[in-house]
Amino acid sequence: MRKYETIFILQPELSEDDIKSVTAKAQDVISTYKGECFRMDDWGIRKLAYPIKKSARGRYYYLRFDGDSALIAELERRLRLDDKVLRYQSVNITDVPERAVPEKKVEAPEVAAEETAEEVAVSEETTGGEA
Amino acid sequence: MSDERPTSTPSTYQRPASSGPRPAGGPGQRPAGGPGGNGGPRKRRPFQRRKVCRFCAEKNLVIDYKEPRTLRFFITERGKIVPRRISGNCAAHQRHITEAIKRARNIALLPIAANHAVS
Repeated sequence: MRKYETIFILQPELSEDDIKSVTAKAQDVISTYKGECFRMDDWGIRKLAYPIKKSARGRYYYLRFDGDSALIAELERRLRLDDKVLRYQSVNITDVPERAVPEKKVEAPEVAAEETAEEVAVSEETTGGEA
Repeated sequence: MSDERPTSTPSTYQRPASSGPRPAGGPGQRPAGGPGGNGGPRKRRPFQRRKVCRFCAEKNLVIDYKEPRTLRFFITERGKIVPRRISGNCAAHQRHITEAIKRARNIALLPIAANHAVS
């Protein structure tokens, strides 16, 4: 068993159900491959340092789990195939000494109220195009 | 044809010759033709360089790619990684810093270049 941490970035304008489906899928992969999930943190919507897939912000998720190489391969395959995931990165932290992770990242209040309406419109467009 | 060849060959020969002494002379001392002139070889730099690695001095500082705020010290305004001769890190910690910055860039916690056109 190795220790891993994975950060994946979701599209910012996803609905609750869409976010749930991605996180549930990740949990499902971990449980089917007999891994152990320790934390699943939502860092909230943050501004990206550079746009990814035309998106200037994204919802960060931090995943800390133990597992084997088959698990990480499957998890990354799932994340890669998912259009809702903008970016993911897994790091093997077996050799890194464990330290107290802060409970939740202090996130800057990035999302302004007037932008949400615009983002909803964009999300409708994208879902319409995909369907 | 015959005129170009002698002109082109000296230029290619000159290039390594001119670029050769520059990196050798840059980090070393500049004895005579420096900016100070009469200052001589004694004062080479206008300011004192910090020699101590920040992470060796403070053991509880941790290099983590998830903390872009600490990594910001080690990138330039253009987003480049600050070299060791300027940041003063030791070799081992500079390696960790470099690794962390590259990871942070990958997940968009740090910029890859200065001005990305944000759509």
